[in-house]
Amino acid sequence: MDVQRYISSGLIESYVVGLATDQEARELETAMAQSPEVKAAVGAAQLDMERYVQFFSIAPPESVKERIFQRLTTDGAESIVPAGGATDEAYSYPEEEVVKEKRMVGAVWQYIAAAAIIGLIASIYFNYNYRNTINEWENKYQALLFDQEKMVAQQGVHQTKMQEAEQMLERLRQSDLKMVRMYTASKTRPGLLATVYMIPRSEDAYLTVSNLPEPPADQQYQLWGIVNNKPVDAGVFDMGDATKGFQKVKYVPGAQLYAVTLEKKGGSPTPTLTAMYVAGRVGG
Amino acid sequence: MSTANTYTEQELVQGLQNHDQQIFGYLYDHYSPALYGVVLKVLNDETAASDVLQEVFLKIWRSMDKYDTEKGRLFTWMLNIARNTAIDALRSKAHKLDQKIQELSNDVYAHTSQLTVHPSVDHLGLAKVIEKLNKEQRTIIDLAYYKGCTQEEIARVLDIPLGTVKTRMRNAIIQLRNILKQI
Repeated sequence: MDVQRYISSGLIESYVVGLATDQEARELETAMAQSPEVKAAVGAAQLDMERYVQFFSIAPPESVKERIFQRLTTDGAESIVPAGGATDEAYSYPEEEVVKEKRMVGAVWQYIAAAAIIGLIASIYFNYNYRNTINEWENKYQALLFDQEKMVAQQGVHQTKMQEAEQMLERLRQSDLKMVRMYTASKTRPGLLATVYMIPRSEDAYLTVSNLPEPPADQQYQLWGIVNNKPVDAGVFDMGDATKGFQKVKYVPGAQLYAVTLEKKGGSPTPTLTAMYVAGRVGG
Repeated sequence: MSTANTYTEQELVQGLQNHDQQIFGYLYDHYSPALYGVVLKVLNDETAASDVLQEVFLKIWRSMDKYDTEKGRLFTWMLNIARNTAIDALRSKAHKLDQKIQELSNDVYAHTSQLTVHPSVDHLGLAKVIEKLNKEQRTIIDLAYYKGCTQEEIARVLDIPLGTVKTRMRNAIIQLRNILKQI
């Protein structure tokens, strides 16, 4: 048997204060019978507890002794019945006084406790409210902060767009601007229009789409500049940006023609002529 | 007991087993404050405590021949009778757990108000114990000893895992022992 285990487990202390379960008590009693060390540890804890208990010693009302001895003389082998109020009236007066006094003290404490509890409840209530209000303001503040950030971001987007538009206008005002209108290249697809703006001085080119059908998901439009009958790739474009505004495309120096074909996604090295949608001549 | 015994424990036991009323009177005078203290702390009601104390001494008187010196000291045996009888009475009153806790915190005041009335109480010792044993340690001891709470109830009241109740109790008793050494 591991003596140290019993001693450090807290079972001994629990046993002494009457906390051990029946099974635990039996186990410990067996251990006590086998080990003087365990028995000594139990005895020591018992002494501690007894000393503790004695601090709360109080002289009982004097009538009790009298009542006990009365019972002793009249007592045969009767069963034990707790004596209720069947005592001599004369002894109950001083006892009543003490009880009353104690009840008064008790009542005062009850009022104090009640006041404290009311105070506590009020405090909890106000704290709760206060916290709710704080939470509410916190949420509102976060929402405002979010809105503000969103607006700053939007403003940034608008500013960039504005600058682009201003730059675009500035370029459009330049005298050497060439506008290349590309019209329907096949009679089966009438009414199509896209335009390339060429700025030779800065070698910039912009594309805007007025009317082109939305390409299938796996295909993209590709712009070509044709120099001396040789197509030069000017980049693929998606419908979004090009239809809404001006999309920067590759400037093809010396191009006589611009054309748009529908190609596989990412573009082709040479144009698929059967899939030419629009084409236009570069003016003088 | 603080007052010097004029009887040895052996003489007391022998006298009681011979149904000597004079020795029983001596026993009452010397041990009733301690036993009444236990019963009162369990029941927190002087009238009920007086009735139970009477029952306790009658039980001692009647079952003296069952007392076995081998199994423990007389005082330990009497304390057990007092505690068990009082806790039985408490259970018959069907006290709820929170009521027991409430009583525990109340009776400290009840006692401090009575300290001046009852010179048998060791004021200094009690004050030191109450001061130095922390609230949780005192609560765990008192709930178990005076209110007969189970380990489960104590775990719930102190909001600690069931598995730690015994080790907490051990720590509380060790702390108590350290305080007692200083008194």
